[in-house]
Amino acid sequence: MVYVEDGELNAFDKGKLLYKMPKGSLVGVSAVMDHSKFKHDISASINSTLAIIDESALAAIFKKAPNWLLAIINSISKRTRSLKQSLEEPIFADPLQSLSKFLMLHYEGEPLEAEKVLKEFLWQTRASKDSVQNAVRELVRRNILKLFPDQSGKQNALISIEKPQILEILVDYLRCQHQNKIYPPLELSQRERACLEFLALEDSILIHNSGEWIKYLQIATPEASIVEIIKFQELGIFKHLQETNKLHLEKKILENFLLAIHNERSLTGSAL
Amino acid sequence: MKLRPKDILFQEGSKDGRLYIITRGSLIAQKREGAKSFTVGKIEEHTLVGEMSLLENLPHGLTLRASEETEVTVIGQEDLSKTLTNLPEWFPNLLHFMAERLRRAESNKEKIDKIHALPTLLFLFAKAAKGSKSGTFDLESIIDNLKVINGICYNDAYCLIRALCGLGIAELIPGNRTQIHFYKKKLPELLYKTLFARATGNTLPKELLSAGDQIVLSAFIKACKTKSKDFHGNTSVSLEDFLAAYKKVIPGIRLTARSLENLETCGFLFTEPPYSNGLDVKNISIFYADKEFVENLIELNRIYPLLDKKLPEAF
Repeated sequence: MVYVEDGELNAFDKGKLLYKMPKGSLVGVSAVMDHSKFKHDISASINSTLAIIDESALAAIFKKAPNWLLAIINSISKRTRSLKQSLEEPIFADPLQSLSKFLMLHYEGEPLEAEKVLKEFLWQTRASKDSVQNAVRELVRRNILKLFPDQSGKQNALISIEKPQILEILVDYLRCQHQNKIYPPLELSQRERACLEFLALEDSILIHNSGEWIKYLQIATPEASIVEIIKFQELGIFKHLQETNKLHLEKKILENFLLAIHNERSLTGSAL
Repeated sequence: MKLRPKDILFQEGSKDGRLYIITRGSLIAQKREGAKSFTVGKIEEHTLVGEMSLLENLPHGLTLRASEETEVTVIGQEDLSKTLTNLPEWFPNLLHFMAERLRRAESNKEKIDKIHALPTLLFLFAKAAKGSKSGTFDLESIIDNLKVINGICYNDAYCLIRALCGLGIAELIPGNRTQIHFYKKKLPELLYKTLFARATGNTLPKELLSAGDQIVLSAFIKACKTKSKDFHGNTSVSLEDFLAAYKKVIPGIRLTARSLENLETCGFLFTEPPYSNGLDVKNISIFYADKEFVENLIELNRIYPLLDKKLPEAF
C-alpha cells in the first residue's frame, strides 16, 4: 500500500489512463488488507514522494490504535468479505420451507416431473443440489411427498403430493420455528383438540352466541367452558360478528387447524 | 450508557454519528418492512454497532431495543478525532476506503439479490395472472410467497416490482390492498419461460425474435386493428391489409416470402397457402395467428433487452 505524500500518480489499464491520484491518496489497500493482486499499472505523472506501508508497518500502527478502532476495522473487513462470498448464495430462510412453498404453488393436481421441477427450483433460488436433495428426502420422510417411477421405469422420476395443503401448513410451521414460536395448532391441549374435532362436525348452523357454543361443545366435552371459546376467538376459529353477541365459526381456519393436528408428525418430522 | 428493557438505543434511519459497544446485556434488532416491523436478530454482549455511523455519518440501518438491562459504551466523533490525531495522516483515508468498500459491497449485494429474485417474482406473477380475470391481482400474498421461496425482503421486493412497472408492462393500483395490473396478462408467463429457457438451454429460446420477425408481427397486429376475421379460432387478415400495414411499419422495404419462414416454423404466424420454398407473396390469400399470443410476443421482445439494461439501473 502506498500513500501519496506529495505529487500525483496515474492508474493505467492496458496503457489507457483510468484515473489520477493526487496528494493524500492511498493506493493498493486491498493488496495489504486482502493480499489481493494490483488491478492496474500505477506510475508517477510528476515528481512524487510516497510512503510505502507494508503489513509490518500497518501492524505497528494498529498497536497504537485503541481496541475499538481495531474492532471496527476487523468488523468492516469481515462484513465486506462475507458479502462478496455470499453473492451467489441463496438468501431464503430454509431450503425445506422454500421448496415446500414452491412445490405447493407448482402443483396443479398432476404428478410433477422431478428433474424438471427441481431444475426450475435450483434456477430460481440458486440453492445447492445437495440442500435440495436433502429437502426432497425430508419431505418424503415426512410422508408429504411421494416419488415414483415414470412410464419408462426411471426411478424417482415423478413427484406426487397427496395433500398440497400440508405443504402450506408446513411452511407456516417452519416460519414459527424460525421465530422461536410454537405453531398454534400444535400447542392446543387434548380438551381443545377434542372441541375442534366436534366443531368440525357442525356444518349447518355456524352462528351462535358464546353460551350456545359452550352448550354445543359440552355435548362431546362436558368440561368445555368459556376458556375454550375465548381461546378459539384468539386463534380466529370463532369470529365475533360486529354489533351482535354472536360468534361465527370460521370453517376454513378450523379445517387448517385440524389438518395440522392430524399431521403433527409430518410437520414436526418426529417419530416417523 | 445504561438501558432498561425495551429502551431504544437508536431508531432505523436516525443519524447520530456514533458507535456503540455492548458491554453488558443484549438488544433486539428490528427492521421496518412496509408498515410492519420485524425482528431480524439479537445483538449480544461484546458486539459493535454503528461502525458506518461513526466513520461515514450514515443513518442506522436497524432499530435497536434493549431486551434486558443493558450497558453500552458510546464512541462519538470527538473520540474518533482525538484518536486519529495520534495516528499517521493516511489513517483516515484507510478507514474511509474500507467503509466505502463495504458500502459498495452492500449496495452490490442488494442489487444482485433483487436481480436474482426476478425469476421467482415472474413465476408468482404468472401463477396469479393465470388465476385472475384481467391480469389484476393483490400484491401482498405475492410478496409473502416471494419472501418464503427466494428470501428477498418486503422493501426490496417492492423496489423490484416498481422497477418492472417502470418498463411499462404493469401498473400498481393503490388501495387498502395494493394490487398490480399487467397490461398483457400472459406476459409474466412468457417472460418467465423465456428466462428459464435462456438460463438452462444451449440456444436462445425461439420466442426471442429477430428484428425482421418483429416487424412482420407488428404489421400483422396493425393490420388486425384495421380489419380482421376469425379463422378457425385465430385472427386472420387479407394480403392487401397486411401489405398496407407492413408498408406503414417499415416504409420502402418489400416483404418477401422468405421473411415469413421462421415465424411459420415456430408456429407464430401462418399463411394460406402455407409457407414453402418458392412461395410468392402475391399468392398468399390470408395471414393468420393467435392475436393475443402475438401481442404478448411483441411485448416480450420489447421488454427482454430492457431486463438486462434498464432494470439494474432502476435499483
